[in-house]
Amino acid sequence: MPETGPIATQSGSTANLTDGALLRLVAERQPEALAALHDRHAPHLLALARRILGVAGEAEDVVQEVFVHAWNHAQRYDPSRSSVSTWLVLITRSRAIDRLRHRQVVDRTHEASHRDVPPDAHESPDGVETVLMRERRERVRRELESLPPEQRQVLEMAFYEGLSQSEIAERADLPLGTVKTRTLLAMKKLRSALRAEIRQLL
Amino acid sequence: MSQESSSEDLTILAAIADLERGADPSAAGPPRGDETTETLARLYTEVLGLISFELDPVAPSAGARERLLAAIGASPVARAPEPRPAPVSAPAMPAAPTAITEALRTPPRHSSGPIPRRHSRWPLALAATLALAFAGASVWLWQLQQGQSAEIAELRQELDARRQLNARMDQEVQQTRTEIEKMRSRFALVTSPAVDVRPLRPVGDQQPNARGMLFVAPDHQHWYLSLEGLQPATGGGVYKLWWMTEQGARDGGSLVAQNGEKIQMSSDEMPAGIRDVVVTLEPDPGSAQPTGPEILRAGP
Repeated sequence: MPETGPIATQSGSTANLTDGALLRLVAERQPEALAALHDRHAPHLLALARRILGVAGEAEDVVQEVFVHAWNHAQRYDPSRSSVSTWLVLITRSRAIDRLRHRQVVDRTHEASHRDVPPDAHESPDGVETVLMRERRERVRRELESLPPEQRQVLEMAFYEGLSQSEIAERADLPLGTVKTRTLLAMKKLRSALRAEIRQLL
Repeated sequence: MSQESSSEDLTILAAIADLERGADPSAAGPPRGDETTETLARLYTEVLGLISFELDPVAPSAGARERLLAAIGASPVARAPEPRPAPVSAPAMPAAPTAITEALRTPPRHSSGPIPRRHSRWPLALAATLALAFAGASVWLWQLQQGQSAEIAELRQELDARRQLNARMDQEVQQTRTEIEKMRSRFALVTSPAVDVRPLRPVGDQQPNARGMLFVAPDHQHWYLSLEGLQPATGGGVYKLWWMTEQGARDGGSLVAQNGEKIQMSSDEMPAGIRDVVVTLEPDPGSAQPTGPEILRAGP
């Protein structure tokens, strides 16, 4: 099963290839494969980078860095450890948070991170998302919204703001154990609720 | 918490720790544990990867793809002609690059041999941290238990001492009550208008300063004796009180004199038919009859 479905802009030769197959081609220095991966994942990665950085231009730079990184380090990818999609997502997140820290932005709250985002930034442009991706987005969003607010909060602070558990505890004025407990509960619930999505990625 | 649950928690926390460090989630490395741990680690890594899928996708700016290809030194790859087909539609790129097709026909490089693994140290660091934390917690708990044991022992000793003190206090209170009761009884006796008062006066010259008073209740059973000026007995003798009746002398008890202090005696038993009351100095404390010299006497 493909990890993600093809998108409109992909070429016919790559449309039916899995992410893993594309990355193997990238490892063999095939630029077409990298372009296909970019077409498939860039919209989502760009949304993530903008969510973290709040600045569209920087987010574009981060996404480009991620794909250059994939081009140069595709050999390091271990498919037993994560899907290509998750690999790209977590690299994007890491790069974006590095930039965020470099800027020494103090206010990294949810609202602040969206301050510079254009109003239409979260509109789903036609053609950049497959049905499969849209269903995944809706499912993930629904499951995240079903989490208790306090659990979702610690998860978002860790994921989008790059805060450590100790930093979350300090900022939220909570005991560290409480933060860890909430994180564990949230992760376990998501793992259970997103079984089908995870299965598609394995 | 079960071992499996604990292992799962540790796996999640390790994944979160990797997230904090920005570690490459798919970088090859040593196994993260047994098969279960590996599976859990993979699952939770995917959970983290899915979180951002809640966001609406954003179309890259025009030329982003070309800039990427330029950055890697490749020629721009043709994009599908506009308009874009619907999602999950047929491929848009006109021709498949031969290299890609060939690559797909041949076994991928990845499957032909292992990719060199970067040895991650976080499992060892995590294990060492956990071991240190466990050891520290054990020492702390042991010290805490020792301290609590010592504290409990001290509290027990203090509690025992308090109990003994309370017992003594209770005893003293009881004695005081008894004494008060006796004093009330004596007071009632000596102030009763019907009491029979008999003074005891010295006999001879041995104890000229000794004197006493005997109070006998109307029932002729209760009595109270008060003596003063009686010198301590010498030569092993003892002062004894005798009830002199028609049937002879009856032992009324021994008296202990200490440097002329007041001596008090009382009882609720008194033989019938008393004619005299005598205090003698008996050389033999066990004597059943008065044999020593009379010291005090109260007449009828």
